This record gives sequence, structure tokens and C-alpha cells, in this order.
Amino acid sequence: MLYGELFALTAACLWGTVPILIRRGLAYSTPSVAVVWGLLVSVPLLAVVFVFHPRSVLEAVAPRAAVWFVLVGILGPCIGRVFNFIGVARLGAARATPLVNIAPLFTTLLAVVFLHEQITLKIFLGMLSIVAGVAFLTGQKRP
Amino acid sequence: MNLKDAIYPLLAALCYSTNPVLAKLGLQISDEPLLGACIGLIASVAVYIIYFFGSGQGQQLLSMPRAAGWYFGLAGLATTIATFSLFASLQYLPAAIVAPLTSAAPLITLLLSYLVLKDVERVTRSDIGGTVLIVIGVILLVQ
Repeated sequence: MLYGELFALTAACLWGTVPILIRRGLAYSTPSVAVVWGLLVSVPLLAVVFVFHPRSVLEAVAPRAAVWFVLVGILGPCIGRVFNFIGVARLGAARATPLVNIAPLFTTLLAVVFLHEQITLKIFLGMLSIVAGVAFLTGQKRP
Repeated sequence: MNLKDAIYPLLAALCYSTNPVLAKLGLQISDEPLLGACIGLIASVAVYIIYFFGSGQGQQLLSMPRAAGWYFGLAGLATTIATFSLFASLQYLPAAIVAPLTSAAPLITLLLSYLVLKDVERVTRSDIGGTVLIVIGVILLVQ
């Protein structure tokens, strides 16, 4: 069975649907409310994971590791999501979402600058394609 | 497109781009990706609630129209379930296969924008071209 592919495509479909829901909701409220309410409704799901996970979080995750995970949470689902939803409010779902998804370009640049990773032809072509895509999106006049 | 507006999704991308690096630092200490993600999400809930109510926006949440609550709530649940689906897919497949599949999310958003946001957004040829180029570029980078 293609469980792995199905789960991955489910994730893509759900992530692809989120900006549509946000765009609809923003007709009635603000990006900040969208972030706080979206985070609050996820708490019961998180509680289920903590309760039913085979290992207790206190024994499974070292405090030093937890610090890095907390930083991920603050930068991604917190600050990143605020900018993401403001982008959806200002540009619309179809234009903001691909721009948000260029994150791997920044990750690659950070890896090249700080980790001195090599730029292969495939990576160069990928970066070029992303930059061209951003130029396409940002270069057009607002309809 | 106004470049001032484009800065928000690009800032979101910059925030998200740090996630793989920070998560890797945490996972090198404690290899518990699901618990790590939950710790990050709990941290984001705590930090954003403090900011939200501390900056006097609490009334906006209390007076949020029911429609916004449904849209934002579904978006929050979809994001969390997508994160769990991602981890589930990684149980079956290597990241090199999962990452390109989940990179398709902007194409889903584009299609749904065209189908269900006709009253508020107009999808242009540049939107389609830019999104496709970005998705191809990201797949080249993450594979």
C-alpha cells in the first residue's frame, strides 16, 4: 500500500487548503485573530499526542532539545504564521502561498553561507527557477 | 503587485526556513520528531496568547463572528493534522520523497483559489507560471 504517499499528499492538500480558509475568514476578522484561534483549536490534538504517545515527554525529550523545539515553534507556527496570514490578507491566497513556500531557498542560502555547503547544478537550477517564479508573481500589476 | 505587500510572505518564508535547521539541532539531542513538533506548537500557543492579550487584542477574539471562528478553526485543525500526516508519511518514506510531494501545496491553493475564491481573487497566467516555477524550484532543492 502507498501509505507514505497518501499521508504526504494529505499533508499537501491540507496545507494547500489552509490559505483558502484563512482568506474566507479574513472577510470577518483579522490575521492576528486567525493565528490565535487556529493555535487554540489545535491544543486538544496536541494533548492527545502527549497523553497517548508511548513515551512520556519528560523522559523522551532532553531540556536542551526542548529549547530548540520551542524556538522552532516561536519562529514557525507563531511569527511565521502571522506574516503568512498578513500576506494572504494583502495579496490573496493564490499569490501569497507560493511566496511563503520559497522557504527552502533561504534554507539553502543559509546552508551555503554558514555551513559552506556546495551548490550543485540541480540546486543552482532550483534556485534559478524559484527566483524566476518570484519575479513572475511580484512583477505583475495588481488586477 | 506592491513589493511592500510581498515582504510579508517573504518574511514568513524566512521564518519557516530556519525550522529545519533548528529542528535538526533538537533532534540530534532527542530523536522524537512528533513530540518535538508538539512542544514547538505548545510554545507557539503560549507565546502568541501572551502577545495577543498583552497587546490588548483580546476583545477581537471575544467579538469574532461565528463564520470567522469556523474558517480559522478549520484552518488551525488542518494545519495540525497536516503536520501529523507529514510525520506519519516519514514513517513509511524517506524525506527525499516526502518533501517533493508536500511541496505541491501551492498548486492545491492555486486550484482552490480558482474554484472557490472567484468572488474575491482572480488567478492570472502570471500566478500560474510563477507558482509552477516555484514548485519546480523547491522540488529541485528538497529532493
